Amino acid sequence: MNALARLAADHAAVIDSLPPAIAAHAVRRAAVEAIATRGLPGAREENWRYANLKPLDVVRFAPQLTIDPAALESARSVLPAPIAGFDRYVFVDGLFAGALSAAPGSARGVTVGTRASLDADFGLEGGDTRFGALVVAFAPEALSIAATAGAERGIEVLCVATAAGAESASYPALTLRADAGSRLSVVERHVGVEDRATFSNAAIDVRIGPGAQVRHVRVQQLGAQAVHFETLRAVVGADAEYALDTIALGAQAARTTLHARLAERGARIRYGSSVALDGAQVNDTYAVVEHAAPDTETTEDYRGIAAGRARVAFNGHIVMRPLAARSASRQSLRSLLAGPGAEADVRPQLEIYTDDVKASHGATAGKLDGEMLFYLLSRGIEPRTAKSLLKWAFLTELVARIAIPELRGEIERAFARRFSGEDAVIARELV
Amino acid sequence: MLKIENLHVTVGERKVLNGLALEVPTGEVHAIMGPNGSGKSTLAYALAGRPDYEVTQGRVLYDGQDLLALPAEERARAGVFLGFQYPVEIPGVNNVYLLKAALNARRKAAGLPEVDAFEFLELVRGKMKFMQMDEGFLSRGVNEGFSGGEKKRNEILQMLVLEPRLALLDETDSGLDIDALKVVAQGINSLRGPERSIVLVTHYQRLLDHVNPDRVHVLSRGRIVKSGDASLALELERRGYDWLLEASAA
Repeated sequence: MNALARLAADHAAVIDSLPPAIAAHAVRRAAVEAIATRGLPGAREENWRYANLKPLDVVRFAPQLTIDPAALESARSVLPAPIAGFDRYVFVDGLFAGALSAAPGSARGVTVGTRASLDADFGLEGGDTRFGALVVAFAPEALSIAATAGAERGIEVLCVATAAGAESASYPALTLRADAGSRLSVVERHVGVEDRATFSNAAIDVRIGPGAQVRHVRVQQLGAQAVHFETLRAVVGADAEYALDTIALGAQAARTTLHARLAERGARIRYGSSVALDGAQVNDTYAVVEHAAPDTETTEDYRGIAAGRARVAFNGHIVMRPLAARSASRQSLRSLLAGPGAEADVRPQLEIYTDDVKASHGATAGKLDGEMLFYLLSRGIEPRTAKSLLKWAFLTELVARIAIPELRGEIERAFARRFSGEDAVIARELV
Repeated sequence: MLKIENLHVTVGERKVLNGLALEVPTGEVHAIMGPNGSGKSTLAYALAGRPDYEVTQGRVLYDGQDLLALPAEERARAGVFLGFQYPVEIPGVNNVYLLKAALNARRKAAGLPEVDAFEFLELVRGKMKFMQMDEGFLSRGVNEGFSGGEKKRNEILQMLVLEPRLALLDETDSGLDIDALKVVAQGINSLRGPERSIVLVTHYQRLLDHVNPDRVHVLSRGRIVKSGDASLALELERRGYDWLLEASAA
């Protein structure tokens, strides 16, 4: 059975058991039909050519409907250390694990709810987000986080994948809402059971009201066999700021599709993404930032390092709409090849419909910066040490922006574990 | 200390130095002046061992040792220091880490033990105060977000910590306001001594108002065309370079 037929059959088998509060059955069916009409993404499509889509041929699309006690135990064994000041909410295979989570409800200006309703148009509008539509079709759970002005509670959402993809898929779904003038800090982490070929497909829907500020740190540390897709949509209001830091180390194959819309005057996004891969891992990001109003601003940085035969890809697509007068975007996209069979494809892409904007971009691929290397050598540093230092600097440059020290430390340690030989010695010194 | 004989250097396809000869005795400060494109920075880079600067002919002796046979890092450990015209920013490697690693590399080459962490910080703090630098610089990435003047001060700070035997300062005065120029000059003067030589590469006389050179050399089309004492710099300031270049071309 081909992937689309399997998807339809899986959907028909579970639809009656999926909660309508998250998406009405008609909406879920419409999502499946929309995917059927367009077809699942294929490697021949320009925006998908770097993604590893092969797993779609074998996975089961239907989700688990209840958490199995063994899965809960597996999840418990891989939980990272808690972060001070952050309340933790845990999904296991896309289902809410109350036993591992803080109580939902309102506290200190932030309301957390389960069975949240997903927008019917999620995954259907705003670019190519078919995997988002898949979440609407199948998600058995969705978590909402909403902040009001004066909010002072950090939220951590932990998504644990334990079930093999041949048996079931996991659809973590999350909505973030920041009211006018509020500040919201969310850490979203994806972890998994090592050596299990899990299949997860996450959807994150972010709405930021006027003058609000959202700090969103996303960390993907799934197991080495995992397959992971994610779709993130953000709409940023007037004079609001979205600070998004993404770290990815895990999964055999991972694809991020991001669509951020700077919808009103003065909206800003600061997006940083650091990816470190090894072996035969693939990580591909397609990020669209749409400037739809005047005086909007994008800062986008990407650092991807590929060792072994790994492949990193990042397409940073900036669209300046006719109304985006006096808007500015700055992109700095860099990749580094650290293995003989590694590949990188990093590119900025600009689409501009008005003259009155500033758009700058820099992209480098492949090697360490020769000027930096010579500077270190001229100070007496050994070439091997200098190269290790620059590799480390390359990878941790963006991590330094994460304002949560224990999380930053944990990420740096995870990066350090990725290094070997001289690189690892230097990394351990610098963590 | 430094003896350069018939030095020819090619950068990419371009022959920049064409038989340059220069001798800098121990304990002296020499200024290399010349118009833009005459090869001043190339000389500094070639002496520091920049990989893409190819020496096609000639010989450089440093303390009697063949300098060109050493890779860049070994030249540094042997006491050669290059103060960059455009110091590079290296986010993610912090200033204090680099300073310490550089000092330890130099000490190791001299057969000395690694510097004690506490003593090292005391040393650096003292030098920073002297260079009128904010201590916050230490925890930042190398030159990260520094203004042009701060980068130059940082070069001199590194020099003061590493105490090189031969300092090559490439246009250290460019882009400095008068106060920063004085601080930088004070840093350079503090390093002057009978055991050390300093080569100042500069386009203008103004640094030499504060650091009085023992000798001044004019570089043109990759060769030294005139040498003299400090008064030559003043003459150049007054008359420009053209008269010299015409004379040397004739």
